[in-house]
Amino acid sequence: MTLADTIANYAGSATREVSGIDEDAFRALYDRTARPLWAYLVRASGSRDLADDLLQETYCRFLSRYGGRSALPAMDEAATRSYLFRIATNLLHDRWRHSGNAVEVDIEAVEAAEASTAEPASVAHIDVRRVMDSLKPRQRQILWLAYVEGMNHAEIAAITGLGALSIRLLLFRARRQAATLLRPEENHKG
Amino acid sequence: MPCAFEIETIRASQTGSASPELLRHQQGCPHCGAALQIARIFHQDAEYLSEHAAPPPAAQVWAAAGRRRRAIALERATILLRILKVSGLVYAAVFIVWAANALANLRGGFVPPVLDGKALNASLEGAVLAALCVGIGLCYTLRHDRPPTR
Repeated sequence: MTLADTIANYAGSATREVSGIDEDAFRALYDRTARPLWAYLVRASGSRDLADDLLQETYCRFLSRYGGRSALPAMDEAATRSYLFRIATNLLHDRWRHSGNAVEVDIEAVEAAEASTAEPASVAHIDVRRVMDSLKPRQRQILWLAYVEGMNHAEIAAITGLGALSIRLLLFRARRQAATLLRPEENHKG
Repeated sequence: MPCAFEIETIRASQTGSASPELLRHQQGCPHCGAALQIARIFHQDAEYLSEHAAPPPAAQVWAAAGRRRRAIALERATILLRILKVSGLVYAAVFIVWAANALANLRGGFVPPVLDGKALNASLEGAVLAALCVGIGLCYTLRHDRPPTR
């Protein structure tokens, strides 16, 4: 056995011993939080593949930062959830920064992928997808956090790193734009 | 201007419980009316996505996190070894330059005061010791498991 192997084995056993999270506790947390987080990432990024990648990366970072310090039991459900959304949002920003904001939604690709699924998409599903595709990345995040996750301005500010007053204004604009985009569909349906 | 009741309206639409004051406000506020409409559509979409969500299995994420933790721990643990390796290379380079300079001076018949016998012996002993330590360390770090010969 090489020295590197020895250290790797030691490091592995050390983190297993120190970590306050066992696999069962993590699975329970994951089952509670993964689906809403995945939905957020899908709508904010516009890509299911990217959402899969970022979801896994989010939990890896969560465990590496907090798991080793046994801090998970100390965080309540809301704080844990908020922290996961913050990590995911930061990862989205990193991805957009590195790709020069090029992660625009390929609506044809998304529609083709979803058309292949057995069940047809609901009207609301198609509406929201089109609205989100028309919005800027930041607006998508804020709108989803407020309207689906039910977060207030301060909570969204903590997740996105913006000020609460800015969130209020950005949310107002995003909501107005979304309402404008949804109205023709509503009229068409009526 | 943004409506101060917007978030309260959204939350009430999710929980299904709104105070009489909020209900009265919603009836006359176009912003909250639009917010309610958007909240309803977004919520349906979120439910649809949750039903059709296919996130990676928890075991896969747990395994990936374990690999990440070990890689980080290994990275931290080997910092000292990497410092020793770099230090050994720097020491060797300095020693070669110093030795070349000393030999050039000796050929010219001039022995500088710093190159008396005592200083030379100490330098050589230090160099041999450092080379020995670096060599053993590198050998131990970089060697691979050898397959059994028989």
